[in-house]
Amino acid sequence: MDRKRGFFLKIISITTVLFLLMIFATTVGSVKVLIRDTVSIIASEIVYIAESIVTRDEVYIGERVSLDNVRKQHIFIVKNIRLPRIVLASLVGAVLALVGTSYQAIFKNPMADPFVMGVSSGAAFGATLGIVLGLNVGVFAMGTTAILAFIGALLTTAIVYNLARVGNKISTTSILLAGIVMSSLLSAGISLMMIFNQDDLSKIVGWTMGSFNAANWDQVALLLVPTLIGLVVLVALSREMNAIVLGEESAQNIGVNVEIVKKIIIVVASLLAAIAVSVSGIIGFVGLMVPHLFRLIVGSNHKKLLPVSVLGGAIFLLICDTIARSALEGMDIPVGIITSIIGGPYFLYLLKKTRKNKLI
Amino acid sequence: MKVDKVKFKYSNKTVLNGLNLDIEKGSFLSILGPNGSGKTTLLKNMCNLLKPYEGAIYIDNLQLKGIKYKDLAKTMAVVHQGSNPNFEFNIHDIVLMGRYPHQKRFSFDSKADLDIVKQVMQDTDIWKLREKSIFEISGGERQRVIIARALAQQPEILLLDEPITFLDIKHQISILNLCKKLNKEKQITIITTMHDINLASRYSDYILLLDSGKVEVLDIPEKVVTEKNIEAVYGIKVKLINEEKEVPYIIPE
Repeated sequence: MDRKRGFFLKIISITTVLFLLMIFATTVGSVKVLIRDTVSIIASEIVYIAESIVTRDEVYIGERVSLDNVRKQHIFIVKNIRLPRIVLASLVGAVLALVGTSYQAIFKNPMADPFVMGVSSGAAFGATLGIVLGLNVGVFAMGTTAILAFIGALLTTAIVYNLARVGNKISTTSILLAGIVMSSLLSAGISLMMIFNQDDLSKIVGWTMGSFNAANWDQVALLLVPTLIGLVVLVALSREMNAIVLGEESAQNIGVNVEIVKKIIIVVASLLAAIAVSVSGIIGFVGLMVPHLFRLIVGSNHKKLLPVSVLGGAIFLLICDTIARSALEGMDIPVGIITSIIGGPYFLYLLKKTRKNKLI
Repeated sequence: MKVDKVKFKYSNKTVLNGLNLDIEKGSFLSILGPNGSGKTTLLKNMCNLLKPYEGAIYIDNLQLKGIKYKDLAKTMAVVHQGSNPNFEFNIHDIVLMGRYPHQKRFSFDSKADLDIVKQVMQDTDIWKLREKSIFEISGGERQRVIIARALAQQPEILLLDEPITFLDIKHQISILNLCKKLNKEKQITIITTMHDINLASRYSDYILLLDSGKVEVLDIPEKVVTEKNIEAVYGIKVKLINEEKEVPYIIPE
C-alpha cells in the first residue's frame, strides 16, 4: 500500500517538473522573456479560458491578471509561438514514448520503436510526395505535406500488418521483417524522388529530421484528443502487456485474450504514431530510449512504466526542442539531431551502470 | 476432465491420434512418453492453446473451446516449460499477475488479491524473494515463482509441462514435493508431463504412457512401469527393481 502511495507521489512530482520546465522554456529563445511575465501571461490565459467556459461570454484578457506591464510583443511570442511549440513537443514526446513502450511489450522485443511497422518511412514517402508535387491545400491544421505523411504512415502500417497476419494471428517476427522490407522499399522511392527533384532536397531532408518550427495551437488540438484516448486505452491494457511480455501462451492461460489485445494495441499505437509523425516529422530515439531508460529505473511493470514513460518522453523532447531552437542564434536545429546527441551518450552510460547481471 | 477422441495435427503431421482420457478430480497424473510422442501437444490441447481438429475436451461437462479465457483461467492454471524473460519484473509483481482472471479492468489490486498472493508465495516458499528481480533468482526458484503465479489463479486443475527437466535433483524433488502437497492438501488436480519415469512412479496416482499420439497404457504406476511397457514404448530394455519399496523403479540394462 505504501509502495502505491509512493508511486503516485512520484507521478505527481514528475508532472510538476514537466509543468515547471514548460514555463521555464517559454522564457528561453532569441527574445528573452521574464519568468514573471510568462507566468502572468499563462495565468491570464487560464483565467480567460476558465471564465469563457463558465459564463460562455467573451471576457477580456487581463480582467483578473494584469498584463499592463508586459510588452505586447512578448505576449504574442509566448502565446502564439513558444507555448504551442512547447506543448506540441511535449505531446509528441509523450506519444512516441507511449507507442514505443507498447510496441516493445507486444513484440516482446526491446529493440522495437514507434517506427518498426514502417510509420516513419511511410510518412516520409507521403511528405516527400507532397513536397515534390508542390501541392498546397490545407485541411484543418494540417498542410498537404502533413496529410500525405499521415496517409502514407497509415497505409504502410496497414500493409505491414496484413502481410504479417496469418489467418487470425499476427506473427511478431513477420511484422518486424515486413516493416524492415517496406521501409527500405519506401526509402528507395524517396531517394528516387530526391534525385529527380534536387531543388526540394533541403526541404525533404529537413522534414525527415523532424522539427516543431511550424507549431501552432491547431496542431496541439489535433494531437491532444487522440493522445488522451490512446493513453487511457493503453494504460487500461497494462496488465495484459505485463502478461504478454512474459510469454503469449502463459498470458492466455492466465486469461488474457492475446490476439485481440495485440490487435487493439497495434491499431491504437499505430494511429498515434502516424498522427505524431505527420505533425513533427521523424524524431528518432525518443520512442526507443525513453521506455528503456525508465525500464532500468522502475522495472517492466507497465502499470508504472507506461505513465512514467509518457511523462519522461514529454520532458525529454521538451528539453531537446528547447535546445534545438535556442542553441544557435537565428537557427533552428532539427530536433531529431538533438535527441540522439543528448540521449545516446546518457543512455549508454545508464546501460553500462545498471546492466551488470541484467539482460536489458 | 475428459478428453474425447481427440485428434490433432500440425499441417500434415498427425500428433494426437484419437486420444481418450478420463481424468479424476483431485488426482495426480503424470504423462510420460518419448520425445515427439505428443506430450506437450496433448497438454496444450488440454489448456486450449491448441484446438483439436477432431474430438473435444470437456471440463465439468463444458466443452473447453466454449469457455471464456478468463473463466477457464479461474479453473485451470498452466506452468509452461521455462523460458528466459527479456524484461525485468520483481517476483511479487509476477505472482500478482495470476490474479488477472479475478480482477476487473481499471480496478486496483485489492487487499484480497494481495493476501492471496502472500499466501501462495508462502506456500511455495518464495515470500522472502518477493522484492527480488526475476533475473536474480535461480532456475529452481523461477519455477516456484511460476507455480505461485498459477496458484494465485486459485485453480482446481494445475497443468505442468516438464516442470523439473532443467533442474538439479534437489530442486526436482522440492518441486515434486510441492505438487504433491498441493494435490493432497488443496485437492488440486495435477497433470504433468515428465521424462523421469522413476520420479513419476514415486509421485503419481496415475501414469499415462503415450506413444505416437496414442494412449499406450493409463493406470497406476505399478501397472504402467513394467519392463514390457517401457520396451514397447521407448525401445530399450530395462530392469525393474522393486525390492522393499512398493513403487516400481527401473534402470536401463
